[in-house]
Amino acid sequence: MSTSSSSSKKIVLKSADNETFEIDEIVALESQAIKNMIEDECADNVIPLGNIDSKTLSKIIEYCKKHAESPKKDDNADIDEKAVEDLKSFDAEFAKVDMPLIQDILMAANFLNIDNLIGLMCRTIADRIKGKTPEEIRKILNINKNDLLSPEQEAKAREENSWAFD
Amino acid sequence: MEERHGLVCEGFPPLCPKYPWLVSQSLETDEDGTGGQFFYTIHDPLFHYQCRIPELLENRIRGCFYGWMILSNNTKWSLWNPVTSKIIQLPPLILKDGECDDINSFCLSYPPDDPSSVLLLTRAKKSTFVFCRLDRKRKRLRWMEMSYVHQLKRISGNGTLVHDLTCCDGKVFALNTDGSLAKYVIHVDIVIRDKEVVIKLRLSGGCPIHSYLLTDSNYQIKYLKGYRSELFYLTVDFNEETKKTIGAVVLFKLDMASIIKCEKLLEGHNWDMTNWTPGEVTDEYIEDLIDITDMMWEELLDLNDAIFCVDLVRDHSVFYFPGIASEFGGYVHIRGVMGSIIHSYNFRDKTISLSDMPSQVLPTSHISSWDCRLEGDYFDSIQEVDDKADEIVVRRIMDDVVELNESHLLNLPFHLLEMILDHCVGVEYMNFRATCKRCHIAAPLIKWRDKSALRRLSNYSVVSPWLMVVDQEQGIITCTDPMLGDKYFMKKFNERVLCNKILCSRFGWLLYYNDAPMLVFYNPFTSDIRELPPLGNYYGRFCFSAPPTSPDCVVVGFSRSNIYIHYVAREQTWRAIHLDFGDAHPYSFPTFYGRDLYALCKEGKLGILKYMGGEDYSWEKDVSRAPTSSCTSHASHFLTKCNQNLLLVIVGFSGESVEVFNLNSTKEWEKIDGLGRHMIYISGTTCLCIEAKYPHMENKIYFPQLHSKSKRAVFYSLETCKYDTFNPKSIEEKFVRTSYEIHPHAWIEPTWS
Repeated sequence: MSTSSSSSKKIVLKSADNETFEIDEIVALESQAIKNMIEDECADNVIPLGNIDSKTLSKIIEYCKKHAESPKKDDNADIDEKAVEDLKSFDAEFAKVDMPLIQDILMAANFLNIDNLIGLMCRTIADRIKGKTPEEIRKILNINKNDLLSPEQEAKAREENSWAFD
Repeated sequence: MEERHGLVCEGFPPLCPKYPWLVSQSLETDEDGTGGQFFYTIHDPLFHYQCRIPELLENRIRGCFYGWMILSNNTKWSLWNPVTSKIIQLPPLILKDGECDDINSFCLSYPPDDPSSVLLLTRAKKSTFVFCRLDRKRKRLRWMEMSYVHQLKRISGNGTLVHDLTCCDGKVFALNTDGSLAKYVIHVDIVIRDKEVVIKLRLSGGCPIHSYLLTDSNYQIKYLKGYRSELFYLTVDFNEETKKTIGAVVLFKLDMASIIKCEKLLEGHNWDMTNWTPGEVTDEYIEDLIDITDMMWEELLDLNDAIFCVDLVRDHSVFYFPGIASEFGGYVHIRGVMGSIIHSYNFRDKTISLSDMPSQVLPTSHISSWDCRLEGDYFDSIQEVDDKADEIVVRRIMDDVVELNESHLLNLPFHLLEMILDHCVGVEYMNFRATCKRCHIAAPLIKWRDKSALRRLSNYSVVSPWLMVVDQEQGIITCTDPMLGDKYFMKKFNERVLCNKILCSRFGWLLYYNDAPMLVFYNPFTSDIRELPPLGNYYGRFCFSAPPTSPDCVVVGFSRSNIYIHYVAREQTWRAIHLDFGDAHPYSFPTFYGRDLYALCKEGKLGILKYMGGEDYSWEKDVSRAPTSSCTSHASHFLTKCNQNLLLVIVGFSGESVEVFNLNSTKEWEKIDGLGRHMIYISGTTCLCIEAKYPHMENKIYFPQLHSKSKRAVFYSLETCKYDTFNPKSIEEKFVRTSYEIHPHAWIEPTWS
């Protein structure tokens, strides 16, 4: 039941470091951006992705492959519960990467407009900062020193936070 | 072992008047005494002076009045003025019917050069004053003993002993607290008539009563202290008979004008209670006394720059310093019953911090406060003010320095930041908001009590239960995140927790007696409040099986002779099962287990109420023997349920040891080495055992004590067998340098649903 009839059609993605990835079109269609390009027929056989490196791109393809294979919700009202669980555990495993890669994937997913993946990455970042201090969050997310709040702003934020449950 | 800096002094040490100093005396006559004195201050624990002041080598300091020290050693008594080096030797005091340690309070009525000066002593087991008139014109000084038994009866009915002598504006005052009618402040009026000393007792008023302290007065120590024209009444309340955990410190003040006014009012009543018998005293008498008492005493909520020092070990001496450097003021320092720890009660934030005594101070050593001022300011001439503040070696607690490279998050488009923030609620939202300017802009301030925000929080849970403290005076609830040390305040609390105790805290709900007094459930995060049917027992131990919003919620309470059961959703009354617990009372930590109810008796013994819900219930006592524990008799016991196991946690006095036991199938306590994925939160009335959300939190026992510097909770790790906090550089091997709460407090698992 897996791949569709158009499995013969291939799309080639080229990363910023000039690595090419040949994938089924159905996998590429997970990306709303690529889908639009194909529909508008402005895509050649090779789609260059100048702002996504090969490491990030291969992760994204791994994600799209799995999700393309899984039955979509609107395909069948009677969704296979096992498939849903399977996809959930795939997502959980998929997110087990380091924070820089998560942020790269998020940026790329945003560029390629892959909604589920954007959601997964945002949730993952939110989970990673659970129970952490602002300092620890800065370290985890690698936030620039120049972007810190001024001491006055920080004091005000701390004061606001201490009364936020009041 | 920390390095301590000690200086050896031949004579007086140059004590910096900025600090309050304590002097520890180990007398040469002591078995382990090396003689000499050891001067140290709580505020600079790594520094001390070792001295051999000859006058103090064999004499204990009993008190200090008008710059004179009262010294004694067995029968030898003397007065010594350290400024002028004058000594007045008194004749030996030989009590015909008691040992010298029967003397329990001391007072000098005037400076010794005043002809009417009298050194007055009280005895612990006999209704007499022992005194010596110090008039130098007399050929020889002589001790006298005088009974006050009838005078005291006239005032108090059945009170027998006067204690806590103190001096205020040239008058001597004392307490009488062993009568059954009331507790009194007594004016000990000393009049010199010709050559005779006449001592008259007059009623100055009742001792003040703190309105929300209904705790058993057996667990309270009272102190009276005069200074210039003010009289202070200090009480230290304990949570249990062993007096190891301080439950409350309360201070009242009275000025001389009020005392005079009060004595006049009371004289007008002309009460004579000599022939009083129980049942005879009218409510009018008690009401009048309470009215007059309330009028005169003023409760102090701040000590400003003053401190008090008391010693629970050796005697009931109390020292008062009206003004030291402001950063060290505002404390009552209490040397605990075991002699090795000082509990410092901070009047401003109502916490108690613990510090260990220097190792040179033996638990048996006699400790006094050393008054650097000594009226004449002896140390003004020695201006080598020795400020060691710069030399203090303090373990510095720092978070890891954050190494920052170029930002990734900075590049995220704004809408992605907002999406991440959508997944963050409560604490995470606020902390994320505080990380950088862009996040701050992306995340508007949210008040989590608003309706829409409450919906967002409905499935939210915090990483760890919070330590919640109720400041009754200000009506503020403070919650501390034990992992991060962050504090959250809520000021919509208009009730008082009676008896100063939260009876139980579970599922984000508190159970306590309010002012009414009614038993109430309260969720401080949603302000949901639910009253329970009336039950007139303020001292019970309670627990509940589910949140009061649940149809399955059962509340149970243990009193001296009953178990009370109430099904919240089903009925409007309490069911009482009458059982005489006798010596086994009090049962604590009631714990639901299937259809049964377990409760903890002394030393880890258990009682079970089987089939508590049915008519065929049965009560079994002593179902398990006390476990074999390495802890001393001063240990605290906590019972909790972990999955399907009952666990007993035994914490030695001041945390010297921590042990966990599991109740096995043959109902015996078996010691276990770890909790696996679980963690235990301990506080006075509730012991929570929950599964850890993160591996670094598991297998630990959390105490309601915060690290003095990082303000994060102290835990005991069963893996490393050490105390620690969540801070990379702060390993605490001993349970010290922490502060704990005096206000009603409990661990709470916040819930917004």
